[in-house]
Amino acid sequence: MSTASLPRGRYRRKDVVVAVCFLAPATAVFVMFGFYPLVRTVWLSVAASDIFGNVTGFVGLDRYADFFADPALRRVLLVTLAFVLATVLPTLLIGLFLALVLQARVPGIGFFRTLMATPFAFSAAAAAVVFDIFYSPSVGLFNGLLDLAGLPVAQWLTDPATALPSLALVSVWRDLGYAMLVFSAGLQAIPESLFEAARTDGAGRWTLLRRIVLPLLSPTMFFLLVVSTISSLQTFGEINILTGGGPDGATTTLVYGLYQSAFAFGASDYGLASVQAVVLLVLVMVITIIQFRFLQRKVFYG
Amino acid sequence: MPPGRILRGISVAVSAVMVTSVTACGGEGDGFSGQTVTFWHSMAGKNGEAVAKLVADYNGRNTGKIRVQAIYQGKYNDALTKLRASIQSRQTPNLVQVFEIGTKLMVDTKAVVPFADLAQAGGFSLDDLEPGIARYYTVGGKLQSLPFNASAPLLFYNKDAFKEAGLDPDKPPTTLAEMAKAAKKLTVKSGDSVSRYGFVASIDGWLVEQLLANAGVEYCDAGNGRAGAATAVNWNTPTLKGIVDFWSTSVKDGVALNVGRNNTDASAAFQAGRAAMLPFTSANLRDIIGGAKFEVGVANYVRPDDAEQGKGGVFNGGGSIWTLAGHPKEQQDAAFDFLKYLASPEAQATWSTSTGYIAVNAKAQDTATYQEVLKTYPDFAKPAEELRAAADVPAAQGCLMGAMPQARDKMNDIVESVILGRATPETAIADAETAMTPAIQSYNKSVGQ
Repeated sequence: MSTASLPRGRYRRKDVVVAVCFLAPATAVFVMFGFYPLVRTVWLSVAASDIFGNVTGFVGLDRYADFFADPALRRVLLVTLAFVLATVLPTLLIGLFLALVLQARVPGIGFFRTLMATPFAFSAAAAAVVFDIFYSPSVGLFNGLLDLAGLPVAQWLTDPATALPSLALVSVWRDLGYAMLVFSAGLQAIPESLFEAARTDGAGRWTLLRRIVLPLLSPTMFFLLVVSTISSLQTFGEINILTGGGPDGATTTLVYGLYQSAFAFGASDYGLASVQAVVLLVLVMVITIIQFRFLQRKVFYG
Repeated sequence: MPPGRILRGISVAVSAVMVTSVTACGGEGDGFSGQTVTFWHSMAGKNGEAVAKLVADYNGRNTGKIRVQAIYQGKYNDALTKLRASIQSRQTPNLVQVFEIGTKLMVDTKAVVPFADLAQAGGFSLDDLEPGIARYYTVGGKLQSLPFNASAPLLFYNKDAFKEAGLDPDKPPTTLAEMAKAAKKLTVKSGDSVSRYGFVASIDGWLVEQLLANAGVEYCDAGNGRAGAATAVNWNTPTLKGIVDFWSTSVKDGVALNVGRNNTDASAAFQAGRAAMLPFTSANLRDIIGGAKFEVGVANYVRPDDAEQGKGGVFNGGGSIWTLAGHPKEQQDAAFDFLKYLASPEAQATWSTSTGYIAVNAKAQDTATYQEVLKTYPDFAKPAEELRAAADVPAAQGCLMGAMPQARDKMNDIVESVILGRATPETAIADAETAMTPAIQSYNKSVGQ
């Protein structure tokens, strides 16, 4: 099609109709399931509602003040950040390590790569149920092993100090496969000729890793960092099944606090829940912007 | 492709999708022309299997006429959330099982038909229902729902461990102080590692509610919510402080195992012999006795130390089945017919003996099914006897309050924060009371009370 012959910014009527037809389904879905809930959430966060969730009036920023004034509510922000750090960093580091190890050219490596990637295929609910059995205080696998080794047993999910790391372990275990797969794809995209050239120049393993692999892998790493951070911020299933936000609020993240305010225990404080949803939205945006602004500069796109 | 044809193509595709999805929802595809009754419940595991068995039996008797679709909707709290959403979108099931503390909330939704009205129209006598249990679900002088699964709190104990520790297996503890003493003797330690705890209890506000009732202490004001709408909880009492103190001290001293809020972890620890006593619901009586490799003792629930015997008593836990309004008359009649079946002596006998719930129909005790099981497991009679022995005072009937589900969760917070050493019983109770007041007020305001 010779759009070049048309004046800038002008399209044929036929093209516009076709474009609208292609855009309409996606736009309809976005409006219905994306924009409408978003606008409604913002509206609910400045409105009062009754126990059935019906809006009863406008309260301005009162609920935001409630949220930031209450230390117990504010604490979910710290818990959320701790959870993100405890899941994203290990996932990326161990994922990279596994991907490097699984680059080895040995027979049957494809089998092991597939094996390592399988946790990714588990749903959060299924993984959480299995780990719930492992963590069980009296008849769990982990405490059984500790006992067998003559070590003191741990209170995996019932001690506020260990509950968050225990939850993070489930998340890391599940996300690791995905990180490893993406890293592997990134590694395989690095041209073999670069390694050969470096080796000819006498570069050792560490130099290869530091000077060639890591710089060329930086776009992959950046992508994973953004995606894992966002998905970690949205974790719900593991928390709901394993700890229910406890003990003593030690694992109540923003998403879980939102759920508790809106739905748990017959409560329906949609106002407070929406405040938390808006805070989550802003948090995701800020973190993503920071990552794009500051980290992208260090990314080497080859 | 010209745009006109594209648009036509899209509209054809969309309508095709809509038609298929409508048929997928509406038709059964097997020419069934009778009434379909949807029934939401929260029974999982062995108890879920028992519900499925009852439903299959009923459907078998009504082939071609009525078909009950039982759908598991998650735990009580999750099911209640889904129900509220369904009321808002006017897509309610015909019947729904709701836990006992959702009673006031269900009445206040104004989306239900009182069971007493249905019973009167359908010629069903309410006299056969256990009076104590029916009283719990009677609000405004009317029985609101059909009590279906009524449980009582019990103290399960390991008779073998009792003998081993030099305790009389026929004399289980009756008060918290006796329980603390027995727990100390039952605990087996080597150094810091405990191989058997004196008792295990999941952090569950229900256990506390029952202890308070057993002590004859009202849980909320307005005559435990029976004389009018409750406006505050009555937690700042020496009795509650004593209970929380007993619990946290036991955990701190290493005689009680803290499993957090997970009920299943508590019963698993008991069944595995890792803890010698278990305060628990009768709902899993069959399962607990069947799953333990030692002789299980079943005793009445303990009472706080400052309580006089006979002043209070435990009340029913579990839940009842509610009929939702706004469905066609024929469907509602079919739903009521199913409720009549569930309340029948035969169905209740099957239900009670395969779970541990109390038969809500007193005549169930006379059935062959019940008598047969009672011969092997005499303990099945205990929960009902325990309930009947409760004093006739509001304190022993449980608090009727719309914000009750939140109150139970707050009670969990109290117990948990003290066990974890984050608060003293005094501060934890005061904080929770302060947090409950606005929750109760906002509830009462939104239902116009």
